Amino acid sequence: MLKIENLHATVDGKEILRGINLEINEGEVHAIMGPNGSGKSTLSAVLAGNPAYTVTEGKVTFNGKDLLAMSPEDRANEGLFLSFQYPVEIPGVSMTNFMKAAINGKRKYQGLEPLSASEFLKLQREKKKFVEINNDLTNRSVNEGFSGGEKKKNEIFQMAMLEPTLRILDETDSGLDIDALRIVATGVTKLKNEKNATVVITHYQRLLDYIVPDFVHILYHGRIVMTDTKELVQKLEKDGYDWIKEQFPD
Amino acid sequence: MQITDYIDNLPTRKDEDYLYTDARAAMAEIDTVVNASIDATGIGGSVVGSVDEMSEQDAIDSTIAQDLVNLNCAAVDDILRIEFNDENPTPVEIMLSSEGGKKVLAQSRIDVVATDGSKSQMVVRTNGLASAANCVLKIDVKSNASLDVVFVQTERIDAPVFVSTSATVEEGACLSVSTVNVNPGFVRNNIQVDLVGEHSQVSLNGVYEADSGHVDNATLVNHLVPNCTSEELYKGILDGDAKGAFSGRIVVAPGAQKTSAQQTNRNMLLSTEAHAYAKPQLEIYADDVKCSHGATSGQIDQAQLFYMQQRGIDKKTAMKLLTAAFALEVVNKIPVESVRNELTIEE
Repeated sequence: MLKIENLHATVDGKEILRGINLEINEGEVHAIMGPNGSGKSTLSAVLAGNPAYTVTEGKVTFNGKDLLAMSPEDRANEGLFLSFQYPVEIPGVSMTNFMKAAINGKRKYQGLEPLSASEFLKLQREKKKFVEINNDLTNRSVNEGFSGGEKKKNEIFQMAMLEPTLRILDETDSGLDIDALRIVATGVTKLKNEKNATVVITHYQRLLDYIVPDFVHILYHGRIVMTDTKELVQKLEKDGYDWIKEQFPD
Repeated sequence: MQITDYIDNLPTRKDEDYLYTDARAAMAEIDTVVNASIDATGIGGSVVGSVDEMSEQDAIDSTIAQDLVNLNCAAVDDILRIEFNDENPTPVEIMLSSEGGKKVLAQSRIDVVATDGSKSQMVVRTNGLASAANCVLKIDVKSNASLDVVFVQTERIDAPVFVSTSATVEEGACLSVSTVNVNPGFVRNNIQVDLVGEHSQVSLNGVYEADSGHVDNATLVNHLVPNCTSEELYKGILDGDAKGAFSGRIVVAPGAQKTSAQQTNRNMLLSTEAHAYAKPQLEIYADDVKCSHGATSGQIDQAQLFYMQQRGIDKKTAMKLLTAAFALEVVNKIPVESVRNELTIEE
């Protein structure tokens, strides 16, 4: 589904990704872990097409297409979904208008007619129920005044609406209390199927207790320095990242 | 004086109040002056309308639009007078129209009185203008009356349009004037409000959206007596080579204590060629007042734009939603529901 080859990227002229190689197939769950500043969030931003980052080298193919040549919206409509570490507040744009534009953007990309108002509302109702989000959230402006937990739940609601094939969760667990974490993780798990893949970027074990990874990668200084199975998570939780830093000096 | 003399008297950019709009140059091509046609609906019952011949008594003293008013008085034949009594749930709708293109100047004069304790709304639409225009309104809001006036222009007019409003607001009365200019060709709006009675209030709101052309809002609020409130919020969305200006003058007269005056102008610039000019002026001759002003210009928030694109919303649609969100603060202040609905993206 996704193949990353020798990906280098910079932000403000500083090289953050220094040769990432990673292959992700349908149905797989990958965890990307690593100490602060190792490039985890940069990787997700680059894959999503954030214009603040510049790719200087490498290749990424998604569903056989050149991902890096696509606009952010085309990447999304092709099936890539980034759950933001800090979901953006958009005062004055209602969740309903936002979601309708997103759904119909995807349908247009697929050559489908836009959903009618009633079809849209029905879909929205179903998905809200599915991810257990408060009815009130869709009547407000996008993320405006939402608590940290509400923002993350809203990300999962959007994921449920858009049914992406590649779900990238960027530090989704940060700032979540245990109940919100459970709802978010349950949502991601319920939406998992053999056709979609999940990339979980995280510091901690706790999210991976719910979303069990098939592979765990350690990103350090802009490279994946180690790939293992889920047992690696326990070792990191117990020993921290110092041994990585020692094993892979700059 | 000949009409051409009046045109030659119009202010240029050397005039402090016309720094961003050269009225004389804008009217330089005019060779014919006519009356604009006025269609009014909603007159009847407690809303009394009449048409009178213009006379010398109808002259208006204006600080920011005197020469335009003089030109108007010199050539307009008839005044439309509207008197609002009681409470009127349905707004009066006025449509100004003209033809003739750039060389023709169409003028109109409307005088509005909101009688004691009345509550009314009025919408003035200028989409029907197809020539240059010089529209003048005189508004008297009597004690404890409430009047909302909304100017709406949403279709481009390929000729200069000047709309000048002079208002007085008496004790305990409320006036709001909202101005909407979408896709203007060349527009200058003058609004002068004299707060003459204590505890009177005025709210001036404007939104302008342009990807070319020129839109200049000039306001003057005279706080002449104590305990009055004025609020101004103007927001502009400028793209292409559009030029937007806002000049807001607030004068607090000696003795006008406990004045509260607020003024805000915010612009969103979508291109490197678009320009926004802001000129706030506060003249305060009293010592117990609360006055503030602020002007900003900025761009689309890149984080918001990226977030929307990441959800599959194409850039153009995302920009449309974001600019509409920026304008919403002003749109929500427009007291006439029908106009608000016209300007809101459907849910």
